[in-house]
Amino acid sequence: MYFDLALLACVLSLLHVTLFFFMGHKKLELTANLFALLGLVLTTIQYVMLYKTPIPPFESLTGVLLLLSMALFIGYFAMYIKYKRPSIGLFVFPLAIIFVMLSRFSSGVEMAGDSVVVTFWLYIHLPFTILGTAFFMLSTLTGVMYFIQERQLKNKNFGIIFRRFPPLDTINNLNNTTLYIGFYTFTIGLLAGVVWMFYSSGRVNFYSTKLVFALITWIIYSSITFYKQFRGMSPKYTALSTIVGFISVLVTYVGVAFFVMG
Amino acid sequence: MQLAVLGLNHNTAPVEVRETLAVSGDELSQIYAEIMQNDRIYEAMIISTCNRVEYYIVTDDFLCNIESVLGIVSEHCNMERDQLRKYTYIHCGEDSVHHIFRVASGLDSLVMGEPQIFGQVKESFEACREFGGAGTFIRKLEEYTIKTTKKVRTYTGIGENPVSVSYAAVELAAKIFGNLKSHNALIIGAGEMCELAAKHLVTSDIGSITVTNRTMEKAEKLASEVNGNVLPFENYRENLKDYDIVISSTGATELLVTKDDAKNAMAQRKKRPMFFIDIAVPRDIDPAINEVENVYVYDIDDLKAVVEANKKQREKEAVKAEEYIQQGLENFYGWLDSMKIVTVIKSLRASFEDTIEAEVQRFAQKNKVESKDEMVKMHYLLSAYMNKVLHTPLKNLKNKSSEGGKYTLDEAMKILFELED
Repeated sequence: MYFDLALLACVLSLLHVTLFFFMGHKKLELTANLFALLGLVLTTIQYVMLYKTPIPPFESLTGVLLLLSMALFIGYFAMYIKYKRPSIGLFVFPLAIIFVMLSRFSSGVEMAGDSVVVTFWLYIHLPFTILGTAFFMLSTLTGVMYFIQERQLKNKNFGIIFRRFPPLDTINNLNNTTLYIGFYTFTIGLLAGVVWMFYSSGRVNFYSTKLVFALITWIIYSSITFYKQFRGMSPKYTALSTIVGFISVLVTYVGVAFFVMG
Repeated sequence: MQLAVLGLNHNTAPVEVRETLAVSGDELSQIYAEIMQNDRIYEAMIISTCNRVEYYIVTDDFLCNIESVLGIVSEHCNMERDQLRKYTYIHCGEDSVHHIFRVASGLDSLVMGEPQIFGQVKESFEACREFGGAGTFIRKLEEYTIKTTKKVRTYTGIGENPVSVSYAAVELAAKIFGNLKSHNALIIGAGEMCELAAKHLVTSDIGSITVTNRTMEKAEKLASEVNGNVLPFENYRENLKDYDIVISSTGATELLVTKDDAKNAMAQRKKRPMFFIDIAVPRDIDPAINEVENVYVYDIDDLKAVVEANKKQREKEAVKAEEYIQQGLENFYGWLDSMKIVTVIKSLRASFEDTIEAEVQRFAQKNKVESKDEMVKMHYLLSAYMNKVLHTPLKNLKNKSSEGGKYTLDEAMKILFELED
């Protein structure tokens, strides 16, 4: 039941943020946020409920996808509190809907690999990796927003997108913030994952598909962040690199979840 | 009692007439005194701005009393009544309340949605209180006008999109840089458009402003007005890199900033964006600069397009604003209706209390009751009885009056006393 309620809350939050985008009523913004909050609460309850099922959430695809949608909501609220720009919800909520739906339909599907050894490090690894991934998604979405708004300004289109999207500089800040948060949390998650692997199997298997893909992702994002930090990168290139970087994340997760799992 | 308004504005009267009728601060007290001399005008208020002069009166007979106000105005500005009539409009009752809500919200302004009028209306209400024009009606009108206007300004975008070229330029800069606090602007030229743009930049909290102009004195004058710096005209090219926003409006016939200038500046800016606004005709800034990455160029036609788009947006928002105004109107008239009931209730209770008093006196005389205690007890008993008897009908009267239903006398009695068929 919580799945359906969570899905409903996500759909309503998307509906309200879309109406806000076109109509501009402040009450619609508030309502969209309230539904998003409800969506977060309901997905959290559903995640906790998964502990009562035969496959615990950290071993099931359902759990991972639910955690990802929760992380997206958390990311959205973190950015909303800092920048007060609800239009990012137009991009985030559809993703949350997709993940909640996928987790609903993947109910009972176990993740590939050996059964998971539960240690303290698993509880660090999983949430941080997922949160990092969610922030990478957010940085990609803000990268897309940057290009859309940049085109509006260059082509002098003064329509609704121009008016409702945040200023270019704010989108760039959103892009940077989500990129850095994503990178730091993903790094913590990756390190914790390596430690967890060592504790659970007595060695670190560098040929593990998950680890290889995660390392590829980390290398790409670390290149972006280090290059940006030390050499400087224009807002446009940052936006572009976050989009390109995310493709690697897609390969990691979609690849691991569906292709390797068989 | 109803509200009526006699007024003229930018739509009905040319500026010569408006300035003749404008009421200065010194004249206000005299005009208020003249209007309030009329016994049948209970309350009055005057709004006088550069685009409108309006006289609001609270009266029973608006036709006669508006004529009397017209007489005062015509005497005051030495203009024949008939001539004055050509430029004025009159609203009464709900229309006049609707009108003041529209005026305060900026819907009736020359520049739709401009915010200054709200402050001017508030000042007019203050002056009205100061000069003795305000009573219960106008005080309540003030409260509802403020409430309605705040709703309109908060819940609609009526004031969000700038509709002047210079302000639109600054808003565009904000659309690129967000907060302008940490950004620097260079103004090339010192004409009127530059001055307006510079002033808008200052109100938008720009980090710093630098002015450059061929005539140094003019640059210095403008810089001092906006608390900015001055840059010698011959040095502006090599210093372009230091500015995020460049606004140019000069009479130069050749391009002042070329694509190469922009490229050189960008090379030194570590790709931080730059925004050029060209308000000059012929243009000062090469439009090809827009092709340079992270550089945005807008000329006067682009700004006019922004203004046109914003005007259309404000017109859309005005439709929303009308809904809030209608709500405000209903609330105000709800209060007015409740006031009528309060008067009825007060007179009913007063009549009952008089009867109790008379009956107690009559009973005391007839039965020779001299003890004050006894009289007080009788009075208390009858008052308690009165309260009990009146409680239900008065409660129903209050509740039903706001619904505005029409009933026959027997239906009304049944509703008031909750009688069963």
